[in-house]
Amino acid sequence: MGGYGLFVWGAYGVTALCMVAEPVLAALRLRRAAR
Amino acid sequence: MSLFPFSFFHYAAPSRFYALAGRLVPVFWAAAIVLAAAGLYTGFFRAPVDATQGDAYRIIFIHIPAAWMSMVLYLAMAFWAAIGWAFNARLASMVARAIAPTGAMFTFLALWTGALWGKPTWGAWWVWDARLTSELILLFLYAGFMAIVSAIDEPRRADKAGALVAIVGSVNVPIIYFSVKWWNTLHQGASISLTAAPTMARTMLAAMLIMTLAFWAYAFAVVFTRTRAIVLERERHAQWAGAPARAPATRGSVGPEVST
Repeated sequence: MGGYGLFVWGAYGVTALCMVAEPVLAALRLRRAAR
Repeated sequence: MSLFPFSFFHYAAPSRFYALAGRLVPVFWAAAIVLAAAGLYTGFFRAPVDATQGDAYRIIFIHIPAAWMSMVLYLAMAFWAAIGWAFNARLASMVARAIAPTGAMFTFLALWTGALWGKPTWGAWWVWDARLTSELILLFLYAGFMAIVSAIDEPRRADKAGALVAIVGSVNVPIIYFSVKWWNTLHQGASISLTAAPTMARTMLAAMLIMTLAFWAYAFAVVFTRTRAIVLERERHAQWAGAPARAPATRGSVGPEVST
């Protein structure tokens, strides 16, 4: 990334983390509510 | 006789929306994954290196979609909260509650990716620039909405209080959007406008727009999933949601039969 790897992957990494965690939390909430 | 084959308000009932959303969520996930793959491929393998920023600019493919979604979702949240308040439509209020966490997440991502883009290009993680500050205020508004609807026990009162916060806070969205025009800001002006040609390369623009659609599909998938959870939580008294059927009252009884 031309020396900007920390910034680019830091941005994409946190984005990916959030966009995986959020739907998992939503699905868990739905599962709890369905019980 | 209605001109339309179905009623627009057919899915205003929580039970019907619950079923519809359940069928749509997988479709939105499939669209989000395909669009994200296409957008990331275009952004990393087809779009050229930027002449001044090098590869650091590739943060644009998540920063701008996240920022757009943060604003669009706030307006959607305020809209549904207002509908819920004005028409006493509880599903609309449930949808507003479901939108808030996703909108807050995108606002945080816009700020986070913006900071990681700002450091190599501006030399600063953060400046009290008009756009950045108003985006930070948007995050506080999301947090305030979620706090107030959680703090009030009675759901319909909570919905109304949240609607007030959401509606008043929606004035911040045009401030964010026009801040680069109204004030002398460090944040660059709009690269994309409805009235002028875009000032960025076509492959860069294509990747950014595809990623925006991917984020939009993702938002629908997650918001619909959360709405289904909220519907079940608030409608647990309803028979369709699994509450046991009440025995019909018989002559002489004062209430439901109590099993011994």
